[in-house]
Amino acid sequence: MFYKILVSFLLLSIPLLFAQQNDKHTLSGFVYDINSGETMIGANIYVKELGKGTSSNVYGFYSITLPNGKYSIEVSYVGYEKISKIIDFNESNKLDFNLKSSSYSLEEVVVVDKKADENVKSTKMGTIDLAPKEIDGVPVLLGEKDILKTIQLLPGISSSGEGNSGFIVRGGSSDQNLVILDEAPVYNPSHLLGFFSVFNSDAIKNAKIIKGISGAEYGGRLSSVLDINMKDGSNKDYSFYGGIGLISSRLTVEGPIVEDKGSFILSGRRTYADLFFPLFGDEQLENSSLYFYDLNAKLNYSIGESDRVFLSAYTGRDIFGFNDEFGFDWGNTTATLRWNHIFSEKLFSNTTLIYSDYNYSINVEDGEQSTTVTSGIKDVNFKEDLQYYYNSENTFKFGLNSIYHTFNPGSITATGITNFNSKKVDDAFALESSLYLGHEWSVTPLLRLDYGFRISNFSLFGPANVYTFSEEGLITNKKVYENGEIIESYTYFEPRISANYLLDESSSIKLGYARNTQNIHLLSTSSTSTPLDIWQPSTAIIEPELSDLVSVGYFRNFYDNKYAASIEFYYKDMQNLIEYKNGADIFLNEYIESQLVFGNGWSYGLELYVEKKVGRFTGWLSYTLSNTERKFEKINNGTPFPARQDRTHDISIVGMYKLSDNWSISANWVYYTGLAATYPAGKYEIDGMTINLYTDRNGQRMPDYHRLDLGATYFFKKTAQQEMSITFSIYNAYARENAYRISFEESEIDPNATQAVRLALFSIVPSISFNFKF
Amino acid sequence: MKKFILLLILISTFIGCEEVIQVELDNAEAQLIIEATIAGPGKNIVSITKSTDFYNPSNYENISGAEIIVNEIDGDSYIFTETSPGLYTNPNLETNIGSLYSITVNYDNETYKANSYLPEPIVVDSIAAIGEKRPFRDELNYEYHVYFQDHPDVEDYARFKIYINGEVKTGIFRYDDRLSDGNYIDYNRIFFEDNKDVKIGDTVKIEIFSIDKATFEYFDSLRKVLATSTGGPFGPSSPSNPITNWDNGALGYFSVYTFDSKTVVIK
Repeated sequence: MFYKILVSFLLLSIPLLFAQQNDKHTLSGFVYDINSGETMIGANIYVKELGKGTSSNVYGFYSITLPNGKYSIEVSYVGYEKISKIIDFNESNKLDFNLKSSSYSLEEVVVVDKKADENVKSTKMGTIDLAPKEIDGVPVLLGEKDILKTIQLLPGISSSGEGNSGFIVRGGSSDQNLVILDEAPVYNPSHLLGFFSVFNSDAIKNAKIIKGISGAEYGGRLSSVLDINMKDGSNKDYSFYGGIGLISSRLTVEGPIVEDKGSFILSGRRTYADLFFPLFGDEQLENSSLYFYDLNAKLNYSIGESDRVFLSAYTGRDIFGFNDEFGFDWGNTTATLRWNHIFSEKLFSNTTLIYSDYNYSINVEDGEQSTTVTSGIKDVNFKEDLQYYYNSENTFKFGLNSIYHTFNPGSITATGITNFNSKKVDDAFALESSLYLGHEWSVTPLLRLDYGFRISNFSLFGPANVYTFSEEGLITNKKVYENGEIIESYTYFEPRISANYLLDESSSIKLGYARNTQNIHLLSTSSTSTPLDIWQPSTAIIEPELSDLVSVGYFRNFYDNKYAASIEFYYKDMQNLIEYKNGADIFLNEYIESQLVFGNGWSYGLELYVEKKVGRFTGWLSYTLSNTERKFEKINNGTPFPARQDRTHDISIVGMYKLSDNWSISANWVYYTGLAATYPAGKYEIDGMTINLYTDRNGQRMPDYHRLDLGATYFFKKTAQQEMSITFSIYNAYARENAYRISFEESEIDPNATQAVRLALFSIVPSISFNFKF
Repeated sequence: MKKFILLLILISTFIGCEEVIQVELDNAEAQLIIEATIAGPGKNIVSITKSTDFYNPSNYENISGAEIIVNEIDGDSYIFTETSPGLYTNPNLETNIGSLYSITVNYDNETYKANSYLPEPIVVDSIAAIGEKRPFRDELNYEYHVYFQDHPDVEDYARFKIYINGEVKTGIFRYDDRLSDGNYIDYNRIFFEDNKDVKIGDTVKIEIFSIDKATFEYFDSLRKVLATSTGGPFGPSSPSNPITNWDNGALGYFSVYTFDSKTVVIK
């Protein structure tokens, strides 16, 4: 019933889109950074007289329609000087704004502006925007700035393990996060087994994390969207910047292709431990490699006033090789071609063509034999997104998206005298399509609504052999599907709604609901993500994962918006989650569906967040109290058990302080309840070996995790054009021995005794890095 | 793969720090463990014990007074008798390749049943030691290679035990031919988890047990909960008891197997 009302309402509202309004006119254009010409995402455009406004979209475009008259328009962005202008709305106008960064002066000017109360006034819930600039100071492991690690310091988001860039959002597993770089999904966002993320912060303009209640334009994952935008590159001047760290070095060059028309950016990063191998004077080591790299490139060009094209690409790979005998490498490649078109001052269009690929390859060579194992996933993706700025009360968003997935579950190629037979598990093909419509509506000056829906379809195609299995996992039937034949198709209606009711100028209540579905699932046998994990489509046996999330929050700002605070409650229900059967074998297994079991899960919690955004001291405090459980008929005798993602308490405190023009210092402290773990409840003997006895799944807790990191940066020089700095950081400053793993094993001293052994990964890890820009 | 794992171990020992800690554990009620292995006269052994608490010494209660019968399907029945506390045997049972066996254990008013199949045996063809260059070392490093022929078009499963100078190596070394059916196998290239280093003069003894699928699955899943295995940092997240072929909640397994062994001195 609810759906019917919603659909009819939306249909009724469409004619409004095209109605003529002579008593109203539109101001539209772009918001830029005056120094670099980069477009500004989410800049606030505020009409002083009416007390309302809009914000620029992800391409920096804004459009605002007002009744005829003169208004004073203020354009602002945190860390930038505000622009005020009187605009005559008796005719439609195009006007671009160029904002000037204020972050190079220490005095507290302008920065407290209307944009600062965005968190109170927007309908967005569980959404946080991060710019690398704002989080520059946060100390990190081995000095490698990492956006994936910084977001783990936010409420409702936790780390999937020590030093790991994998993250967990509101009790969801890490494959339930949609990680997109310039709209292209990045299927494995980590390097070196998770210790570093693939995102080189020098190439990133902005990142936004949405913890489940996203707009209708996003979909395909249960738990969150991490939307990362690459910089466009300055169209004013050339600049070079980069850094030298303990682990890696970075270099970025950006500049205009044609001034004010087009620009480019090229950014690279490489680790270099292996460059020292030859110094050891060992021939085998000389022929070995151990590194990863990232390469980001982006071009954009404006064709006239209404069109702009962007081409962005990313490629990164981890490469490990030993003496030409053994090689293991894995990585992502993405490419995005975008075309922005302004149909009218009110209708903005973005057309996108996306390619994304993740694969790994293992190669073993020795004299007589050569064996290669590969696996991966490849996407071709078409998207059309439209935004219609009907008037200052109504904005519509609609579009469609179609992704063609090719899954390569694995193949082994063996040549020469070999132990292995060549084998390939058949590729799987699927089309994931969706249509969406969203409406942002200021119902009254106090009540704002953002609602919409997404219709998603997932279809699995032949050619394929499809099996059914008995309870015991034996094949009971085999069916052969021809090329292009539909094997299974799922269609879902996914409504989303969030509402904001303003209590007064500085506080509001928000309410939200979203349904999400997920049709591609990451199968991983170990507790941390590894490059060997396999992406698996939904099939007749593996049904789409489904989640329903409700959330309610109170948002309040204090002291002229210098402090922002929020408290949110959420409840999330998840269906058709996937786990392995005991002893499952996923490697090159064409009967993989027989190795899985399915169940449900839920998570609920309270998230507290206090942030100081401006001034010499900035930082935040985040606290999450939550409970996450899973229930599988075939695990733990069908009794619910705490999920691996369960963290009862999760606290992060981040502080950054500008001591002087030259020095800034920072610290962060994290604490979370130890991970749910399965410990032995006894032991016994088989064939002379001591075996641990297990009872309840995840019945115990690892010791609590906590850690303090410190950082200090000295700026030799800091202007808008030039910068030179040196950063010192200490990870785990008080050398807490956090348990990475606890193993239960026989004592080496007394073979008749068994003991628990804790492995702590990092003790104090100091680091130093040097950064420059000119 | 082997070298990759070595690298992981290298990384984790470089930055890792291990320490024995005291952990509060639940103590489960003692559970019945039945390990029944049948391989012909002298090798027909059923051992029944009970589990104990983790922090107790590794001494296990032997269970006496069980009634045990093994049946060869379409063949004879054999009653096992207790020869020492918790150990039961039958001196007459001869195994037949291709036969299916069932076992029934009655103890404390409970009945436990399981089946096992005797597969075609895999035999060790030869053992060799091959020298290889390693980084930072001038002299060659020797590793043992064990060769055997996998049966074409047959699902082969095996388990190895390796003794260096009479001492059994810890760990479970199991083999299945899912990816290597019909090939002439070099153990060295397929068992990535074993460190096969040996020195000149070492005596290497290899035992190969040809087992059925259920026994293989038991040992494959046992690997993950073995108390002697140090495991990698990327081990399974939630260990659970191995997959047993007992039907009534007993731990352990019933396996009919064949056995082959070879010994060499590394020269």
